[in-house]
Amino acid sequence: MQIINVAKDFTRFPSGRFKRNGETSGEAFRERFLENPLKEGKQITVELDGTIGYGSSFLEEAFGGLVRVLKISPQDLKLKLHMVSNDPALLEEVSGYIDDAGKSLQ
Amino acid sequence: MKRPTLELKERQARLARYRYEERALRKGKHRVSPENRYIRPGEIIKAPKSFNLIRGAGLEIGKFLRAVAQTVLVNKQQVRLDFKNTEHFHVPGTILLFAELDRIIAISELSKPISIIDPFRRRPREVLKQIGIHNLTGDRCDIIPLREDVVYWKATKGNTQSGDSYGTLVEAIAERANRDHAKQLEVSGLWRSVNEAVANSIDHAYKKPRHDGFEGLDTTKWWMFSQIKDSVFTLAVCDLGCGYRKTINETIPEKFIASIASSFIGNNRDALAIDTAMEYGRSGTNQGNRGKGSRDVLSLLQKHGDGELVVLSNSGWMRYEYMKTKEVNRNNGGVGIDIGGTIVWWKLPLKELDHADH
Repeated sequence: MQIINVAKDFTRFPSGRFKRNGETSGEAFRERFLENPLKEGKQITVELDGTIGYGSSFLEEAFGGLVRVLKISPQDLKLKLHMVSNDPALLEEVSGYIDDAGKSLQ
Repeated sequence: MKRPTLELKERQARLARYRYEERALRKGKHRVSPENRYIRPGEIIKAPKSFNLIRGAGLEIGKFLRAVAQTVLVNKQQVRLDFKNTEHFHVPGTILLFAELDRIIAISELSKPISIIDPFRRRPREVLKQIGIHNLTGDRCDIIPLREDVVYWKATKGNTQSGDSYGTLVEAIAERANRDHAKQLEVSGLWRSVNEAVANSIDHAYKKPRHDGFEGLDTTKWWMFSQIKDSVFTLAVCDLGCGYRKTINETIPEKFIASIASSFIGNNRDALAIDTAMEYGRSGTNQGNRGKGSRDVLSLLQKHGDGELVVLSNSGWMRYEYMKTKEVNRNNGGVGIDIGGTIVWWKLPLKELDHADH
């Protein structure tokens, strides 16, 4: 099990969608920390607390983007990817983005 | 006593003039006749008395900024901006002034395209100094901003949406607001909204050229202002892009646009475009992975409970007012001229409001 703390391992100021627009984007986070371990079948825990906050572009591209890029079903992704946060609304939001991305794949 | 002759009088006058000029030279002052006096180059353009985009001065501000751009960028002449009679700086008008001057100076090939003549009044002079207009133009201003309602104006800008560039500023101003005031700003909510406004500026604003053909600077894509005044926290994000109306067709389905248009009260098409984007963001009907950012822009009001969001884009504006987490007022209007950009402006009270007053 790999544990990734966004604030410590990536940035305290996550922002934006695409890496062409900034190194703290959702796409940059997904490519750097999530895609390869998931392709290798590893389990990942992402600790979301400790940052200043999250915008929906970052969350959607980082986690919803996994469904699109890896062509994986939301159910399978949720078995491999675990989110940890003290804010239940944030966890629900991320889960929603993963589900929405699954719908758009169908 | 012997009466002085005309010759003696002329000699004394000559001596007095010589001594005066010598004294002036020693003091470093040269006495130059008006016809030989140096006049700084550049056409003088009078600045509006008030920089308030929403209440009446929008047309005047728009014309003023267009005149500056025309003279510097098209006629390639230096200009002097006369702020002598300027009295009031409001956030949206001031951030637009800051952004436009920055853009014009960045594009211009002239060595010093813009100079400013400072306002007579101390407060507007302090505001110009505090937000860094003198640094932009390269003019000297020895005034030190001291007023409580001026020193908390902060300006920043950037060309990416990388959080590292403005995250510390947002955190610092939120900390300052929370330290000095009873009602707390939720930092994560503030970040979410500001972050999405910046992301919109980067992702959508420069997709198409704006009315004068400007397609964006490589060095700066967005400008940001924050201010704490009279226990009200204000933050504004500005871009000089093509505006909501030119890009909503790409992210929002036609059917949805038509449904909002049918119930919209007002006749400004830019205001309608803003409202459509906001409604699409919070409707939850958006499909795919785009169009959620507008919801984030409004979410700060819902989290804070009370406050206002004003979005200005091209020639229109929308205002959303919240009280106790519910929207209580929504209105729109026109600026009177295409301002050539978008401004997202939040106003959040930092003290508990007496809701009975409203």
